[in-house]
Amino acid sequence: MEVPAPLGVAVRYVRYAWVSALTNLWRNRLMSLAAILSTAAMVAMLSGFLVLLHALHITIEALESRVNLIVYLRDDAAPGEVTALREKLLQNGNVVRVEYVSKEEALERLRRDMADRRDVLDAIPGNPLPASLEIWVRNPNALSGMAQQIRREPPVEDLDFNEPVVSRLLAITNLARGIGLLAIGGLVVVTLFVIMNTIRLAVYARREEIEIMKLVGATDWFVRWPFMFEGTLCGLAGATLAALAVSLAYGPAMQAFIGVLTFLPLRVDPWFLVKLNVGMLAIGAAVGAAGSYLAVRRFLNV
Amino acid sequence: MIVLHQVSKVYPNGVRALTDVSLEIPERDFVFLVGPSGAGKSTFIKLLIRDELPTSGRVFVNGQDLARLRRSEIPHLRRKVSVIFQDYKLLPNKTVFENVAFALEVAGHDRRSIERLVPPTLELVGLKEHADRFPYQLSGGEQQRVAIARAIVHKPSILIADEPTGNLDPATAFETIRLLVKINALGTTMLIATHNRELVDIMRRRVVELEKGRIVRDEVNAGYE
Repeated sequence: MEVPAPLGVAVRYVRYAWVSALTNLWRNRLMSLAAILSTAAMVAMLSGFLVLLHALHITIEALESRVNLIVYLRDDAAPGEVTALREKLLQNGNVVRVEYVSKEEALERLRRDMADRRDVLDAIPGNPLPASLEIWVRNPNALSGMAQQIRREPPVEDLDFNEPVVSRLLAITNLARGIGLLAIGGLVVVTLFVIMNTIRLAVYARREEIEIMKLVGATDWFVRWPFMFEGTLCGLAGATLAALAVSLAYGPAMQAFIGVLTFLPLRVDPWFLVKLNVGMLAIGAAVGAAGSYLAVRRFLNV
Repeated sequence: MIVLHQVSKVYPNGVRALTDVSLEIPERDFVFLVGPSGAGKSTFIKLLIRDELPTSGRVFVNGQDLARLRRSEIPHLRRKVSVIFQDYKLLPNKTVFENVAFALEVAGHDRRSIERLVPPTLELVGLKEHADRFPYQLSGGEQQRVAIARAIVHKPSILIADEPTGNLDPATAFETIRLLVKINALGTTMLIATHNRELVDIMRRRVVELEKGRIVRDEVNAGYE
């Protein structure tokens, strides 16, 4: 028995498998198209969902970076009182940071924020703004309780706190993630089945050839590779379509999103779209490969 | 070299195909396997190419216990033990040359070794002039010779023929058997399952007769009955 050299064998296998895969794709072009489109739909939905999660995520990040509680100080408060209050606040386990803002700083900030409304600023005599303590907390849910206590402190004139919107957003994100993952899971399974059936048709059309291959001593992988390539190609093609669509829609969608939330310092990851597309192509290819593997499996037991 | 040791085969549906079969076929032997339909001939062949495993007993091919063969090793077994069938099993959209080359491609041979190995094989079976024809352009006997060429092109040590003359007229059948004798003379062990009484009687070779899954006769220089 003649035994050929292994490297040449590998190269020829790959070439042979590609040619067979492309031939199969063309012969079953209708089914291939169905597989490609359903992969595209799945990947596009998955992408859209991940974009949504990303948007929620950066919103939460931006909200978390905001001051949670502002304590306005009486103008006649003694510096010792203010220092004592600051010390007391820092002892609270929920407080992360306390920052003192003087009357002058407050006015400076206002000038900066309202640079285009000089006339209004000039009309204000002296400095009506109070000094304040800005407080960042770990758990925004405890804010209202804290506010009650702080209000009773001597140097406190008034206070202001942000609603615990972050925790609500977190709850929404978790819910969205749960529902989304379930829907995506369903979509992945459907896509897997469509690809499986496409490949199964291709396998069925060539079952005689496969039987003969096995009889003359083809390995399982020799039989499998062309179909694996075919399924992977379908998956990749579908994912590419989806990536194109998502890439086109991403820019305008993000612009609109940032436009709505201009008051928040949103930090959009500039590589997000690239990472997303690479991930989606990988998922498309993986679903395609898995579908073909499952489709060929039962035919291999010749 | 084929050795069967107390082999029995019962299919999952309860059909008892072989019962306590022990047999030895030395290298270069030429054996007719005869018996009525359902006697167990097909099962016998399936065991030799590891298409089926025995329910009990052991099957050795070239010293290898087939039950211990890993799945990944089966292709290599089938390159050493070739089979031809009554219905030829040729690929209709490939030429004669391509059909024979297919067995080499599957085993990973390159163009050059295909160009080197296929023509002499086609010459051996007398089809050199028909290399570019398609199976439908050939007679039954010619198609069977393509199948034989494909089965021997990678020089197996054993060739098994399952009713090779079943679809052929007597003259063509005789020619086909003469070809198998020639291949046997070149060193390939030959096992032929057949119903063809005349051929077995003319050839006077070793005959193993199966009946209801048991070996009822094993005789050299024998006839069909």
